[in-house]
Amino acid sequence: MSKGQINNQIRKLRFMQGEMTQAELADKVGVTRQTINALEASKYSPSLELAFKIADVFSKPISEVFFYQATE
Amino acid sequence: MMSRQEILSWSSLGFSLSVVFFYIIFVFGWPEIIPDYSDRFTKVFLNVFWIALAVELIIGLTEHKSKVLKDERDEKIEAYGHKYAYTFLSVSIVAILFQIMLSNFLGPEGSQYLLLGSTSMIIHVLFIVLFASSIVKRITMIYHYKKEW
Repeated sequence: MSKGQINNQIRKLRFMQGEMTQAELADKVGVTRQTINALEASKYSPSLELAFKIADVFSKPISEVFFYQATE
Repeated sequence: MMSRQEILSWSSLGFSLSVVFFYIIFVFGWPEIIPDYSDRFTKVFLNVFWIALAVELIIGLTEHKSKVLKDERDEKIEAYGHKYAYTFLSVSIVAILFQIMLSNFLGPEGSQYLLLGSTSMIIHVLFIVLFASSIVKRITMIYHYKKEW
């Protein structure tokens, strides 16, 4: 099975949402600011629940926030 | 900036390292091959001990100010820490049990050549292994906080 990476548009969506800070987003979804930072840097893959919560904050479907990229 | 759990991992690592250092010095004494550095090492580990204690106290006292103490990423990293610490502890205990069985088999005369030939030595090693597994857990957690997923 090939490995993949989950990328996202969280940083872009944050700025589009009235320049929301990482801390504000973290408070809304119930995680630490460091986790949001790790998510934006694609250093951490969120759980399904967290991914849905983040998508809900931006009022976007989850597929517009997170992208799966398969690597060889 | 480090998260609360990452800071706690560092302070706990420092605390465990200093406890192990002082316990080994207390039980086995300072090695004769490096006598000139005993004061320096003692001062360093004493400072590490007090700093770690202070950090854990501050973190504990300021807990009420944080909205999220531990999130899913912290729990995932802690699970990795538990996994490797448990593996280390299991292997160590099996090795100790093997030594005890060998000691019983060889009797008092043969046991003097074993590392764990006496009951007191077994207790000391068990204590050290306990703190060493905590060190393994914290190192694993710090590694995962720092590396890319």
